[in-house]
Amino acid sequence: MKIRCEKLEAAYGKNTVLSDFDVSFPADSVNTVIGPSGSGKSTLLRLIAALENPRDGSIYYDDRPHTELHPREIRDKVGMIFQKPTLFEGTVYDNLNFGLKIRKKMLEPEEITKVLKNVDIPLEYLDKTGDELSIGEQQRICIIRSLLLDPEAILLDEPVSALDPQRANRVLKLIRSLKTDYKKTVIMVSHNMNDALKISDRIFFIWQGNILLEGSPETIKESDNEVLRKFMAGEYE
Amino acid sequence: MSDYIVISNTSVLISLGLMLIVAIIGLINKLGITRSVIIGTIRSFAQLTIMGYILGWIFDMQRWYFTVLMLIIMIAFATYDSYKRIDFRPGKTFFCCLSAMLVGNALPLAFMFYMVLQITPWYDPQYVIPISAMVISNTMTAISICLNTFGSELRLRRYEVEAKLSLGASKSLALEAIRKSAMKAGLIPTINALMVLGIVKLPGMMTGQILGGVAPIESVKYQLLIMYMISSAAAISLFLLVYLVERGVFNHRDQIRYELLK
Repeated sequence: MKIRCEKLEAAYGKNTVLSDFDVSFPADSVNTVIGPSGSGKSTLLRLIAALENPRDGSIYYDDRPHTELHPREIRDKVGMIFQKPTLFEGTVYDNLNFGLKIRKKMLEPEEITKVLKNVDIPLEYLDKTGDELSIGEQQRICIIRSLLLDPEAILLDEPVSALDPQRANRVLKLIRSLKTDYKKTVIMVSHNMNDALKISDRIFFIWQGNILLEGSPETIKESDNEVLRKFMAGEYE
Repeated sequence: MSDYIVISNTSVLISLGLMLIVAIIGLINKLGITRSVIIGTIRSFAQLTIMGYILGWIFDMQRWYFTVLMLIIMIAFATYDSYKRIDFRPGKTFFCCLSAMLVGNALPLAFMFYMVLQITPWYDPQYVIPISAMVISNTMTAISICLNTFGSELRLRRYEVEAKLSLGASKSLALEAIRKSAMKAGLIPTINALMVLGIVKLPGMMTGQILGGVAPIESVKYQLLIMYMISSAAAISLFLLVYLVERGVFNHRDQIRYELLK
């Protein structure tokens, strides 16, 4: 699914976060929105996930504007993964089944075996509760929980920022597979350029509420834009 | 009924010396409570004295409308007082508290007065007013604890709620865990009171009856009825309250209202 934002404006009270913001995320691709803290990255994801309303402008889901869609329809099309894993009460199995149960479906045993194998999680974890798992494992379960509902796009808000490099790599590998194996449109928000370069088809550098640069990882890597250079040198947090 | 010691006005004034101790301890330790102790002492003295005269008068008059008026005043004050202590007000909160207070208290009180005690006349102020007051004041505390917990849990577990919405949950399902925590927090003081009743705590009503010369086992029966009413009134009120309040948590696009998270 292609996602396009047009003249988007978002604000918290008097604090404008995004203004006159245009961006387009192509279908079946891994897109990373990168930028310093407070640049409006997470707000952008929350708007696309219909967790917040833009003050102005439109978001198009395959050319259908958000105003024509009920938030539930949008949430059916778009899965959202948060920075901190959000496993609910109950076991891993209960969590994986959460969205399916709402849709009056059940997780088939073969399906469980397949998805858990894909994310390197042992089958016996199904009976464990969230707090018995590492943060990386919890985040992978959250991604799978969303994937099981077969959304057209998956949004991830800093999904590996709380993980050590080894665990982060496993999650990044899974995120990349969302496109290669499952044909999903992926939009990830990150402040880590290395993560973005590893998995993205396209990188969007956001600066003070607007897209300053966009392009393939190679283009971004070779860009001589001064703000981007300073950001990559760690001058902006 | 056997005789009881009548407390003279002078005795009450002398007893005020005990409150002086509280004020002095507050002053010595710089607790900053002296002003509140003084105001509290004056208010409780004045309020209770006035209430004593009003109740005496209502008991003498024996008119249904005075009993009903007292009930309305009690409910209104209790709702206002719990509303004042709530820092989470998602919209029409006063109305939600009032509805919960009315329905939650009316059901167990009516059951007790007309099916168990079978009081006559139906408005007998000697029973209706003091028993209702005890039940209502407990519900008042339960309501403010419940709503404050609802607010703090919502702020703390906002992403859990949003993750559930993202997975297709209805607003009500997304708030289920928060609703449970809030109801539980509101009910815990009442449940705890049941646990220690008779061991570390002889409730005020029972003590009052015993001092008034009622046989202890008779006053125990009354106290048990009161506790059952208090518990069910709190449970019904909170059950209703959380469902009424959760409607104000979201906007028309099923999104958590940003201003509630501040």
